[in-house]
Amino acid sequence: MTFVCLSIPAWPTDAATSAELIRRALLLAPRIRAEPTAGRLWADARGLDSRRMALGLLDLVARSVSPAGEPGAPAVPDPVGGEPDPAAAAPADPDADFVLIAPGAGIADTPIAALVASRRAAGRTDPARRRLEIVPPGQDRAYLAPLDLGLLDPPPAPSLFPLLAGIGIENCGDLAALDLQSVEVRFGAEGVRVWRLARAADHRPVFGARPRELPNAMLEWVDYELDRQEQVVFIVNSLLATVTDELLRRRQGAHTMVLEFALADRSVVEVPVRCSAATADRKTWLRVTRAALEPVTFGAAVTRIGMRVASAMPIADRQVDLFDRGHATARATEAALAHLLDKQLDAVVVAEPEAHPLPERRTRWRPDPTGQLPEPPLAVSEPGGPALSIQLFAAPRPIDVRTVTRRGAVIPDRYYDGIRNYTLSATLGPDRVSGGFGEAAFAREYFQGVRADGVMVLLFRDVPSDRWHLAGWWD
Amino acid sequence: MPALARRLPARFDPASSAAPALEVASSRSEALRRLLGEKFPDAVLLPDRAAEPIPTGLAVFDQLLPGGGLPRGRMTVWKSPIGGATALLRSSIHSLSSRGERTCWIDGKCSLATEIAAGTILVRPATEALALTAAEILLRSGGFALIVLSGVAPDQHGMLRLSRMVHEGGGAFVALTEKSLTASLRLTSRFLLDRFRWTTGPFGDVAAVESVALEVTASAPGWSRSQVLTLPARTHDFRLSLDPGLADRRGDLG
Repeated sequence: MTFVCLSIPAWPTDAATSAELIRRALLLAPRIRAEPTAGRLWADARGLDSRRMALGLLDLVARSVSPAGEPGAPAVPDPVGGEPDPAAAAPADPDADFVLIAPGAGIADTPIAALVASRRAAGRTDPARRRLEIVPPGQDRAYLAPLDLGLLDPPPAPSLFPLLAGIGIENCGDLAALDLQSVEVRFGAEGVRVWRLARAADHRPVFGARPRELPNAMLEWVDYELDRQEQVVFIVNSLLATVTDELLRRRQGAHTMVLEFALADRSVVEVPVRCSAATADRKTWLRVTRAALEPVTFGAAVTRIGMRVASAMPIADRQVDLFDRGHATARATEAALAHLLDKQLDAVVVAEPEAHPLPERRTRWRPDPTGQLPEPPLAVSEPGGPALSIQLFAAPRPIDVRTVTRRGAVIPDRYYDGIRNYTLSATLGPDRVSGGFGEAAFAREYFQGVRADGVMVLLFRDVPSDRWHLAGWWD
Repeated sequence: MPALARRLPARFDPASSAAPALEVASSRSEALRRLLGEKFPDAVLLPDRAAEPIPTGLAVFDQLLPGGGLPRGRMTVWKSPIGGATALLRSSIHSLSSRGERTCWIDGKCSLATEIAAGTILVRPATEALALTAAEILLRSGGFALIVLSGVAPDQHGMLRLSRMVHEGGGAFVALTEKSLTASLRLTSRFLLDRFRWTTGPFGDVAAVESVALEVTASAPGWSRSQVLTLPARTHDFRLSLDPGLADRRGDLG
């Protein structure tokens, strides 16, 4: 790793200039880290020409912090001793409302050495000297050795200086010569931190983990224009092949893709496409993409189609039991479930029992949009074997009921559901249920009837309205 | 061998002559198979008959079914949706799930009041068309040992499509519907009211249904069998009334 550090004492304070500076810096270096408050700019020069990169950045920064632009840009002498840029060598604008402090750059193997080098370079007042300081490879510790400990960053705690001075330590080399145990015993954790920096043992993560670029594909043409959706889908299909192949190679599945259409009128239309389950299956994506593009109409002919994965996740290869009978078909089944969920996101449900007195609210159906196959249950048999259980209508059906009085209670004897009459051979009830408050209040009398054909039905009388309903049946 | 050698032409080369003939025969056989599959989606080829049916795990039910289980790759129609079909199929699914098989219930009318069985995929489609689409998608995947479709009355075209998907997937499929033209196995059931067992109350009247009896008939072309089953009835427990002032028929104040 080769670090390039730029110390920029006059970092541009307006956001637009700062953003522009970073944008242009990214053209010179693949990875940039800007620390505006500290006046630092880091660049990753691994495998690249670090000197050239540093010079380019210096020039860029010098022009960016100049108040009037190029005429007032500070001079950046050629580090190899060539002729300085005439424009850069021009005198600064005397009307400028600030005193320009020129930036300096340092190159080293470690962040601390690069940082110290850049500070030293920026501090030079002699314009004839270079504003770039290069620490030879492997010489970071030697470079720091004669320097004052106060140059380290972050600097040692103020309380540490008297202690270090007390044993005659004046520079980084003196401290680095000690062993770890001695430093730890005498100066504690802070001493160890400074000791590491003094030895150029700096492992700070200047550049975070590089996010992997998600798969994408693009096709652009200039000699013809597409205005029919079939043609668009044809090209999307070929782009999908590229993207899904790359996803499969990475063993990832995409959740969301974005289709980008550049039109002949220079406008750009973005169409996000989502799949219910992360997948790299080309057929699935083509189907979902077709459905997403169906309502889309373009205002002009399409001249470019881009496709990029917006979110992806690893395709889980679950550890399964070798004796799992569905092991071989798990992937096909999950693909089928994803297909189904694309049609209706809440199609697959999971029952959650609730302790509500009303039958229709006794179970809450929670959609399961994951598209994952449930874990196989433990091998237990159904308690008691098959048994009739209650089935409910989606909404209770109003019915006409003929009642009889039995021991003071009014019970249904026959009902008409709008199609035919049913005689009840036996009626059990009432089971009175009430509860709730305000508009949610309910009071019902439930009856379990056995029809002449043997079908058991559940009826209830809504007490406030005195209306009869058929709630369900047993099957 | 000499006789055979005499019948063969002088320049017979097996590698050059037999291979095209075999290819033609194979392609014709494949075309014929495809044509038969299109014209008669429920037809089962002789090699396919070797596929073992899927035992439901209910001894009395399996005894009733041809081969001792629900047929694979063919459609089964339960023609009387109210007649104990849900109870028997629910128990079959429970048994299959506990054996590690993958099962699914497509509840077209969203009438199920409780969970089918742990590990079973329950689909509650928004419309009847979606129910049929769901059935086709899941059947075609071939990943389910048993799929039950209830609360949907597909037309003949829909039944034909479902029949093709079952054939393609190779699992067992039971549709609770009245139309059974494309079904290879038809099941009907009816309650036998005179064989119900009741629990009586203190006044001698009926207090609860203890068990019900139903007659299930399975029929296939040239084959039929009936069985009377007795199933308990699970009563719905209302003893969760929030209002303690209302007593139920047992005098229980909740």
